[in-house]
Amino acid sequence: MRHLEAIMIVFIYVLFSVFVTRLIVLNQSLSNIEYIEVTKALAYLLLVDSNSNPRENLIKLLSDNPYVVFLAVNDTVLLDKNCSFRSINFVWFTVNGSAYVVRVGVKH
Amino acid sequence: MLSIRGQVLALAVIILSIILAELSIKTLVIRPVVVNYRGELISAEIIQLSRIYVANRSRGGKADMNYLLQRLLEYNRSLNLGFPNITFDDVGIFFFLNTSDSYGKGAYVIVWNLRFREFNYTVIFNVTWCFEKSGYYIKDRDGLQIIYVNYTLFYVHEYYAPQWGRIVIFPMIYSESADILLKGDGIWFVGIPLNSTPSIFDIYGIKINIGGKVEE
Repeated sequence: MRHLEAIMIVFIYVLFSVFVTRLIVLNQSLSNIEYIEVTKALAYLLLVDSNSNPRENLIKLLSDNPYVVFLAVNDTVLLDKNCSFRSINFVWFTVNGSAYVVRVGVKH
Repeated sequence: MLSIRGQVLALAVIILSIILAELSIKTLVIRPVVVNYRGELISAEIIQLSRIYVANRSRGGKADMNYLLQRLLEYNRSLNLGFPNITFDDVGIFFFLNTSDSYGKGAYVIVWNLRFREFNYTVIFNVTWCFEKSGYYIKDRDGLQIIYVNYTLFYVHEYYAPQWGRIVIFPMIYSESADILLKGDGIWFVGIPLNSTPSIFDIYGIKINIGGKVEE
């Protein structure tokens, strides 16, 4: 009898753990669509933009985007809404050969 | 055979399991979990790098693709950008120019083979233009009558990548000494003073050669 109780307690524990884990995964996946959308927007900006300095156009594109909560260019923070975020990093090369490291945070 | 206590416990476990399973099914919406999505961004950075290289070389610069690649891969290591290891052998660079006084065409093409661990794909940067002489006109400048040669120019950028297929853009062009008039998607009327070869650039700094010496 004691063995049976122990088995059932373990079973309940495992079931509950699986349930909680799936809820956590669900919560994490909620930001994925937004993450992909912001990545696409950044790619489009890289494809068409001609500005040698990325700051102006990045701010224009991202400040109105509700999913973007953080923006930094070369460690200069241009937007910070104090939320947890997943970051997208990329490099913006300019015609004169210099490069800007851009970090964009999408709301988690 | 279970005792009464054991049977009640077993029943409670079964009911709880059903409730939890039902709850998980109702709350769980199937959505893809993407750990580290790069997709378009990698290809777009490759296109941007190609454009910078072409802009420099078309103006007579000495940009080195090996150097640019090294810089890109250094950033890739420090920032985890998701690029595969690209070598110069993975890049094909083709510049083509055939112009005469009355007609001509040119192209700057860079082909990138990106070899990821699970798959490979190709990104192509393609700038092409062609022009044809369509006549002459006279323009009064500072009291001087100057003969201009009128050309019809078609200028286009095409970017290929599996994430977006084919993107076509018609960049604006400019020149300090030539007359430039936009007629439609990628079609321009360009007036060049007779016997001159003015510099014409697009907004990305890429030089376009129009007219020039007559080639027999």
